[in-house]
Amino acid sequence: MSAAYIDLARAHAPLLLIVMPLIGAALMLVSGPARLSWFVAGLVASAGAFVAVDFALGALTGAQPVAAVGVMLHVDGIGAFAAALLAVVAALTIWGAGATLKDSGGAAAPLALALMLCVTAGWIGALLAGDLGSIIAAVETAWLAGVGLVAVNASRDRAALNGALRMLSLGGVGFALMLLGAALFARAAGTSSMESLALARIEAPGLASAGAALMILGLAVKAGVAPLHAWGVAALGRSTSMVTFGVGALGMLGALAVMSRVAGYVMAAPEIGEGIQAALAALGGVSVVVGSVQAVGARNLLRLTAYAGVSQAGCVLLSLALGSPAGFAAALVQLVAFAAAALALYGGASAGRVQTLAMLDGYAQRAPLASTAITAGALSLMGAPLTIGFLGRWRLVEAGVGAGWWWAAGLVIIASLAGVFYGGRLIERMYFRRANTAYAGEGGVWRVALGPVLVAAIATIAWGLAPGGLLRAATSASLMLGGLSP
Amino acid sequence: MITPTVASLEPVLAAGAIALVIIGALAALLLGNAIKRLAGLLIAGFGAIAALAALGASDGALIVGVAVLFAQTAIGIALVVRLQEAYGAVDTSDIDAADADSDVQDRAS
Amino acid sequence: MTVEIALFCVLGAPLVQAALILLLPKPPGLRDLIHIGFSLFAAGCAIYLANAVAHGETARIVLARPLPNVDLAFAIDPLGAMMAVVLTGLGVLHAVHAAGVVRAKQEKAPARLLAFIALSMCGVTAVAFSANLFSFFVAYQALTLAAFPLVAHRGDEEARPAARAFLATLLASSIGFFLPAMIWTYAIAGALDFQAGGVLAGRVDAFTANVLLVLYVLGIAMAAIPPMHRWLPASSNGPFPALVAIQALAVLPAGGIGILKVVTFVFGTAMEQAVIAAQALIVLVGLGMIAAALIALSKEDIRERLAYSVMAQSLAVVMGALLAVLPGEYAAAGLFAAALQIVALACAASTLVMAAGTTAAITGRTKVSDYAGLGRVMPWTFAGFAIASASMIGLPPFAGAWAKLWLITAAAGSGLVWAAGLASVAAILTFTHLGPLAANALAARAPTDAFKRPDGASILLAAPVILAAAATLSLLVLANPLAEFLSPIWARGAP
Repeated sequence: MSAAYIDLARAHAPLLLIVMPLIGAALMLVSGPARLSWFVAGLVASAGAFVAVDFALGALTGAQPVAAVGVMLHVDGIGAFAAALLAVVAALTIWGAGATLKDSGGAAAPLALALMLCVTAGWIGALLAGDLGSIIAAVETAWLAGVGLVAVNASRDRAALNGALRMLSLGGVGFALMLLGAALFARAAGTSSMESLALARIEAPGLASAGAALMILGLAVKAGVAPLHAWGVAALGRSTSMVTFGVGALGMLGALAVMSRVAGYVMAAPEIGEGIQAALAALGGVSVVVGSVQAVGARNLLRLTAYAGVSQAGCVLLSLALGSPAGFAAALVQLVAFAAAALALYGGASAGRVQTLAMLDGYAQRAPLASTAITAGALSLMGAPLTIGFLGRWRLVEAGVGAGWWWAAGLVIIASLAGVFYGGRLIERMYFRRANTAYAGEGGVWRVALGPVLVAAIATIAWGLAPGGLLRAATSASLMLGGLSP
Repeated sequence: MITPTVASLEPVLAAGAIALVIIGALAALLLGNAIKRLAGLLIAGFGAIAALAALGASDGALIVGVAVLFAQTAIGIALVVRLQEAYGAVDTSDIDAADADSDVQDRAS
Repeated sequence: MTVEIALFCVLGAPLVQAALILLLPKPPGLRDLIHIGFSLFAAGCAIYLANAVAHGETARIVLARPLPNVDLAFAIDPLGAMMAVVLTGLGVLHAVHAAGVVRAKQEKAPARLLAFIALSMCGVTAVAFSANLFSFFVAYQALTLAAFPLVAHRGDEEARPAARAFLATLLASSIGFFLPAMIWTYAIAGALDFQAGGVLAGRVDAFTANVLLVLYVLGIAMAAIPPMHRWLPASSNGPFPALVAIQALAVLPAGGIGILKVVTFVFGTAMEQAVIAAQALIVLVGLGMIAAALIALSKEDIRERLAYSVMAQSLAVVMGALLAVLPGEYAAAGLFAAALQIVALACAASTLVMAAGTTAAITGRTKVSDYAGLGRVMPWTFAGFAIASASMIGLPPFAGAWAKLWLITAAAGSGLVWAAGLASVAAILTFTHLGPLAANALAARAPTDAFKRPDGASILLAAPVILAAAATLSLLVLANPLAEFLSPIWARGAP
């Protein structure tokens, strides 16, 4: 009998992936104490991650049929891959958030956890939604939940309100652009259904190009791609770990994943593919350069990580711009690299309540595991060999060289060189400087909750040693852009 | 007498909606007052919804747009109130200046 | 013991060595015993591997497969085996010497120092045995990261900027130049394995070959090619045991080995296509040799003088490799000259730096002008210093002479007589900054207040110097056997 339930759950996995976090969020509001809420949230997120990974493995190998349950869902390769990645990251970050519940303001912690689950549900929903309108609704759900998550931090630091306002302003503009773009594109293609988009005949290429560009621009705002990334620093610069995890890691990852999915569909149309390619390439190039330069100059670890994320987002866009299955596969690998590095850096910072670079002095002696995680994240951002970051960049450069895009290879090298500077600075401070005696230091037995996050981040970064499975999954996902109909 | 048809009005309506989006976006990004930014978001959102309607989108899409805009507005108003309480101001230049003053810990590094 | 196990041991033993040293830093005797013992073990494995190669055996170990057709793999070949034997053999002497210096100078954090020396030796051994460009790149980066703490060891206001310059130059050049060249090679050839005859042979046009050669040569900054040489003088303020690892046994030799491997196994006969770039680089390298020798003359601090001196010698390795531009027997001569020069440089540089370290530990003197007459009170140390200086200058019968002889032969035979001229000028300038120094140390009146330590130099400090100096005589008898040993890898005839 349990096997029947398992089969039923598998058949409706896409719906479960969206509903479970929302139910979990509702439970947060009635859970009571912060620790209990955290425990329940962790269980819900873990269950979701388990379902998502099982679903992705089945979908990418073609072994798992899915069914419609009255809600329009459309599963494609990128959606399945990225949904699993998001769900796993969400589980890790929610468990890791247990280390810093007090920092988040004990009473507000259940609300923050609920919002993190809403962020997760929103981005996963956008990855599995069946039409453009649903994608927008899901994206905005996630975005507004992220704004709330930032604002909840205000009891600790009022600058959070400023960050939330910037997120809301920019995100609202992004919403308007996406909505307008969806309207234009749907009008030109004659449909807004994802399943039909792959085969739709574009009647007005100009209109479709404009629509697609606006949608991608709107998503680029959410992803924090330069030069639209001003909200990221304001929101993350002085935030708690829940905000950095929920918005910096989950949020940006989700937005990039949705962008990859939408790009996969719009670029498939030969009438407008070249224009979108150029737009993505331009955005990606600017993001790599701006993010790298700003990361080199950053003096705050959280801002440095945010800027490094901007640069990494640029690499993802460059991969997407190639428009080939190899390019999309490279983008997916880089999403994994981005997630791992973000977890490692934000998690390592959270363990010691580190915000500024000066607070990293002598960190290796105080917190060896956290230092190892930050080192691993820094090496991945540098593109050091045998890390997942190196693998992602290699695949991008290889695909770019194959397409004759030498300038893209040059930009990736610039990103890696910048990574050497700012990553090297982190490593030098942690291992070769004495601790600042004025630093108050971290404490609390619950810091151990960050352990699994850090171990997972280090392991993922070390995935560069034997990435065969990941590469196969990414390749399989990129070849399934036509999608599996539920 | 020539009666304008829906079809011939469509480009005009769409152009007007796009203009609203642009005006609203610029207001939301460039104005210093938080309330005016919120108003800009509202205008941009209405413009996008109007464009949806002009281009013949389904009712579902319109409802999605309205719902999201409503949620944005509600959150925006709550933020403005909290900003007034925390900073005693809703002008972003005053808020940024207050944050910069308290951002001294970064200069120590 | 099978060959694969020996290969695994020679790469893995230094890792275990480093871990044990860090876990068991006290008592100092145990720490030093571990350091010397594992160094001996690694040298023994290297000798075993060289013997296996001499008998025609092969071995390859694959540690990971990160990309299609790209393994993290290590394999034995004549060049790698020869380098491993020389470097690990000298490494034993260095281990003994380091134990002595650390005790005599009360060096801070000695366990950390010795551990990262061991890791650096692991890195250079991995470079020597790398089976493809990717493995070389990984080993190169690992060596950079392992050597960085050696430069930063003292942690003072001088060490930190020096360490940053070291790391930034080596990593930036490898990522900015070497990595794109490697990916480009992969795009052309579909694989990155080192092959006799060159993986690019018959696959590249002149433009591509020239650009790739420049990228590779500039990307291997460990060879101290201008303008990527900044790391070398910057690192010269580290502790003496660290300097031996950086200048003589690990970092600098890794650069030379890399250039040699790229020219031999990546370009091979494709070097004919890269004539323009090769000649331009030979000019750059030749002028660099002369400039380095001149700058060495101006340096009063022995560490800085030796840094520029070894830089000039390292550039001779690059010149030898680049002379393999034109096909024929003189190409192999150039490659052989480069290989001999690496051996000669390792022997001579380790002797010189160890001698300088002994002098600093016993007398506290690091200024060149303070060396006058010290040879009379430290005869063994300065005998070694003098022999090594003669080798660096290129005076027969010392090792450096044979390397330079082959270099000049290759240059003249390739029609690049001016290259031979540049090398000769550099040798003369090397004499000016080392010859009088050694002579003055041995011939001048002995200072009356020489020793900081009442008991003079312990055997730990003196014996490695003289034994390393004796190694510089080795090529007198080993040159022909080495030529035969290396002959399988020269695709275009024996020297």
